[in-house]
Amino acid sequence: MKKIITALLFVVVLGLAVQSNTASANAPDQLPKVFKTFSYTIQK
Amino acid sequence: MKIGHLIRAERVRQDMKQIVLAKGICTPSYLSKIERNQIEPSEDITEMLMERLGMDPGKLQGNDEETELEFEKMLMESYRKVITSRDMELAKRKLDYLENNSPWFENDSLHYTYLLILLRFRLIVGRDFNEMDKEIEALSHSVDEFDAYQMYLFKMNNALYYYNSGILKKATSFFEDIMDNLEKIPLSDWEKAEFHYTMSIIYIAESQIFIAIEYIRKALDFFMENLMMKRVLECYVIIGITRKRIEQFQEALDAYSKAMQICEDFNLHSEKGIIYHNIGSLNSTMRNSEQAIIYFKKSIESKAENDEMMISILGLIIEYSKLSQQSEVIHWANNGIDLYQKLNDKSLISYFHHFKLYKSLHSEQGLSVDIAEKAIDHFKEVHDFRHIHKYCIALAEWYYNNRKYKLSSSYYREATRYGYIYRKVENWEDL
Repeated sequence: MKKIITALLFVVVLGLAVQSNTASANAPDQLPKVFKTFSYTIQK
Repeated sequence: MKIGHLIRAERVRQDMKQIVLAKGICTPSYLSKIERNQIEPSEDITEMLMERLGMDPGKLQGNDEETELEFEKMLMESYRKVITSRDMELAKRKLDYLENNSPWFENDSLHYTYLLILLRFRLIVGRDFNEMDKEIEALSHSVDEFDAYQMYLFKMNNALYYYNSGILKKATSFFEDIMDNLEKIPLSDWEKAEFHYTMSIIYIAESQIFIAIEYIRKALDFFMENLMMKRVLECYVIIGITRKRIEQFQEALDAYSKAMQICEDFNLHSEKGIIYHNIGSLNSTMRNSEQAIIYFKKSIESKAENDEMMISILGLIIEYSKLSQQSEVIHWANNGIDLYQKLNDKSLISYFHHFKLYKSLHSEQGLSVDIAEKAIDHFKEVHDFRHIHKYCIALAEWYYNNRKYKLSSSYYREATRYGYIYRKVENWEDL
């Protein structure tokens, strides 16, 4: 019984994770540097 | 002579309590009045306080309007040159000069401007971050006495400090605070353009693309009018990135072509690396991995600065990972890790975690849970929700493929949770 519940829970969680991962590819862009210390080059 | 602002600034900078400084010289409450410039202390007290703080009384400058004006002019001109030229060597030279050749003014307002510009230069040059934390703290005690322009400089310093520390939320709140009051701040056109340019980069990092476009257009107009071509080129790079993010791929490519044309026409060949990289990234988004790889490699070949190669190496690794070319992933991850170790620059540590994770994922033994957890912890520390989300999925899938369903499930949940935060969503119903 416990195994079945775990499996069911897993399916629900998996579904959400996949759904939230359907945005278009987000390759790392390189933003121009303002200065060495101000060069956040990977978007969050 | 009024020296309270100087005493207070130095005492707070040294993290010294009033009671410690005052001991044997005056009472703490008397010191407090001195620091607020409510009392002018005797020469003896002034000397003793300055001596305890290790300050040289010879640098004290009385009220001399002409000297003050001259110094202020030099200070503001240095500031403009450093900000607009983007020349790191110039920034270092100006910082050294200001640190070593600046008198202490009785005019507390000029002293505040001096401290605020000095801090801006230190942020640019990237001196010890813990020291800057103390300087910001010291300045925050004087905010009541700042005029509108000094308040702008103070907020800007805070914003850049938090931005550099990876705490984007806090940085953005300082930037927005400046935005709300921008009309009241006496800024010259160049400084407004710089501010708009900075804001566009911040909003891209925050994925607020339409606001970023609005700001970069304003900055571009100014740089065009003043024929500042390197800055125009950078604006086109930013426009390309924003167009890519809203899936206007042809417009993105057009912007990069304009940037490339400027490289050719104005002999700005060192800027080609960043353009190639972003064309690679555009191809990656358009699912053209093979083309993306070609451009990332071109970018690495064109870049003169090693630290700039890191992002293109990461781009390559991601493409090879998508194509399941394991030996290439490992080869480039090793290159990246070697480069990180050679550069020994802590601000690049996120790359180290990316490289380690991909290398481990494509190794014969498969993903190391330890490496993945360390990477996830790191991205939690720097509030990089997208990468927490991404690597939690990688770890969850690893557990799933190894039939560890309970662990897999908990990481999928974690991935979902951070996916919500990344997308600014609270419930699944909002998706």
